[in-house]
Amino acid sequence: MRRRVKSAGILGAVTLVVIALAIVLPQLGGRESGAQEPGKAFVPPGKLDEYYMFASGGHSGQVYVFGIPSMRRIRTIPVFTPDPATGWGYDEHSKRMLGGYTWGDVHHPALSETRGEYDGRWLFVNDNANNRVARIDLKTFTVGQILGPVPNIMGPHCAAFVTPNTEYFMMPSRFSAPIPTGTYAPLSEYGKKYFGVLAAIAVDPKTGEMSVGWELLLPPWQYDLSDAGKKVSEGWAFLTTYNTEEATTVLEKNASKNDRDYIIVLNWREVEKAVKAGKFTAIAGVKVVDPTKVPGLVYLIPVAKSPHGVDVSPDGRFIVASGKLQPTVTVYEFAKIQEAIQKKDFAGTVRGLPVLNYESVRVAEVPVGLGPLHTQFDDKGFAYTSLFLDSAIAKWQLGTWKVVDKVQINYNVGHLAAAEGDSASPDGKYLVSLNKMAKDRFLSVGPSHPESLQLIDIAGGKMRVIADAPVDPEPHYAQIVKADKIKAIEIHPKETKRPNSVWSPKDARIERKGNEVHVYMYAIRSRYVPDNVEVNQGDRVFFHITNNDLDEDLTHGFGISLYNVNMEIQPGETKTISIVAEKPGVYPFYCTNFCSALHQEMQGYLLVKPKK
Amino acid sequence: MMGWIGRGELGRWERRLLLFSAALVLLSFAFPLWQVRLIAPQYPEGLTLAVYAWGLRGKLDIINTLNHYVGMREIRPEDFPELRLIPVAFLGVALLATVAAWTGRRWIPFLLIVLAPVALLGILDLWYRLYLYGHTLDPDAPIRVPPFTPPILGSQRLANFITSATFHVGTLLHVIAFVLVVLAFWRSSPWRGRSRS
Repeated sequence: MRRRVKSAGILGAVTLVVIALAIVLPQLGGRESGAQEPGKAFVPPGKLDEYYMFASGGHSGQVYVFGIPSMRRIRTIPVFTPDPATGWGYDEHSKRMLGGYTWGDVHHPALSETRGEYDGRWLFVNDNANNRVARIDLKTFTVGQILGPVPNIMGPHCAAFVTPNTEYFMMPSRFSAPIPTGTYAPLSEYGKKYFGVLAAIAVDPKTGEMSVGWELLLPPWQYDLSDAGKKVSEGWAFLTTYNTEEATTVLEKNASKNDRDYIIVLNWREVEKAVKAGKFTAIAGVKVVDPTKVPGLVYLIPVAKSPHGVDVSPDGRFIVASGKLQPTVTVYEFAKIQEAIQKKDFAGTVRGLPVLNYESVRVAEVPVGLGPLHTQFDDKGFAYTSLFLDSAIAKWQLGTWKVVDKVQINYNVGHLAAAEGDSASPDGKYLVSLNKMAKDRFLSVGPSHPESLQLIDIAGGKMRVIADAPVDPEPHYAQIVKADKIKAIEIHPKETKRPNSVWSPKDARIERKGNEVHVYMYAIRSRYVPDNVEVNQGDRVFFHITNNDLDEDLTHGFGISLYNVNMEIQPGETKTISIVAEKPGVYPFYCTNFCSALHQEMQGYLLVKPKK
Repeated sequence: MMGWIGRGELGRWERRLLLFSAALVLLSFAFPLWQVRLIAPQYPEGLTLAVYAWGLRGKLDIINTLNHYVGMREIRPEDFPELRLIPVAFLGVALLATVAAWTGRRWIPFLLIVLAPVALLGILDLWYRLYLYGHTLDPDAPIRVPPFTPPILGSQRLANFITSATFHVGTLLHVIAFVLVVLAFWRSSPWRGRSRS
């Protein structure tokens, strides 16, 4: 009896241990791939981050601003998608800029550069869906210009990677299509009537004003990513292309048949010359150059099939291409490319474009791991390549081409962003892994998951994951810039000559022009002048509102009940919002952005007199 | 009695002191004479209003906006006509001191010393201004507070704001200039038993 009790006790104890281990072990495992050095990313309350990170918001159409290393999300900049809180897409000015589109697909933010360094003036972001590009002015963190839809191109996924003095960035088609945009051609004529078009967007060096510089006719392939040459390779640009099979259906299979696709090597300075020499055709009002007719502009380099990222090393010497279906990155040397071009060391032509001899220009194939996508660099001669399938990052050395370290991430990394990573002098302190899947990394919010960002300390020999941050879908790429390079203003200057502005309650007024009513409104905490506005049913009513609180963070809002409009007016700013007073009745308008102790009193009535 | 005031010459050192005090008076234009600073939890950096010899500088708009909640009249630079007199007076003092240094006339520093108390009138005027702003509050104001006089020197608490007022570098320069003039006058006085020339 006693023995039986004893053995039952032992059995029970063993069972308990097994259960305890079953609970604890997976957690230990999880911890290993988690924050390995808690505290390193900690920025105490009241202290500011060392870097800004600008992350694309993907199909949200917006841009997210983070602080690094805290990974605190500081702000969302509305770009291609209306945002009622700020009034983006609601006030007259931004409504005109959006041109009726209600979303965009932001992929690759690019900070403006001077001599290859981020200069903190502007951020350019592409809209892969509607062939547009926006410039965000970093004085105000607001969009200053939206260009497009740009004619002839379709799905400019590649953009925006600026040239070292922000002369251009390239917007090539991801989806080849008949041109000009809007032309019909059946898919059976894909090879003849469809084109991959590259638009070079020119940037005014003083104002940042963007315009279509010129376009280039490319084969009907898909253009994926690009980078601009720098230092020794300045004046050139590099693009990856896939679907050289020219498939139009079941691309996952049919566009993966060839063992090799191509890197496009583009001499943009020569294209400029060709345009000046008049060697172009005007299509949809754009100067379009055909590189098969003007030699010396475009060359092809074979690359492992279906490549994704192409990245130029900080010194401009090496071009690194990631062949997403092969476990290697291919490294080319710019000097060898030049030599091959000079010697006409070609392995034939494809679609009228010379193909450089692979063996002559390739310097290494680095076995980084499965699913390499993008490469970033540090200041010590190392490169970091994201491995989508391995859910890892490989660190390897330029020159020796040896992989020296790997770190596990969670999960499925796409792009990487290194501190000052695309400049000619990366900082080598931090690397952010922009992961496509978050899965179990955060408290569950149901089937729709956030994406996951992970901060990696790369200052030491070994990479360490030091912070996790969730983010709304879907950052594709980000750039990280030293915080002191950004010179943001806190209030808008008091420009008394600004059209529609009101700087004294005495100048606030209501003017009628036919059935248009203009309300020139003065806003200051905690009142609007005038605060009651009477109009007739059917009038178009414009509210021109100036925020006279020239005080940091003293934002006022303006929303009208049941009239479906709202916006913010920043300190010292004048904004115009309009409605057509279709509904008779009395509708309050009020300050929607908490401004002051008597914010709740900041209101008025819109009185709409019914038609007789 | 008047002899030692008017007649006689200022020595080389006394002239230098006078010239120096004239320079200090001119230098005072670059600094505030008086400054008030409002600090609140949401304004840790403080809202500063400075009175210079030539006018007001600082966050006047924001201070006015905040003051309207307690019904204080708007502070406008054009409401201070006396501020137009101050630069003239200061330039006059600097000119007189320079003339004294140039000519060596002892009556000039004496005159300056005698005129100095006029400056007290300026301070009195400032106090009166502050009194008026704090005692003519709009009875319809959103927040009703008992009438008060903002401090001319030192701190005062009103709701979430701590108001601290202080005389500033400009005033200090004037005090030093005055001391130098007195010193110059004293050094050249016959009571010291010697006169240099």
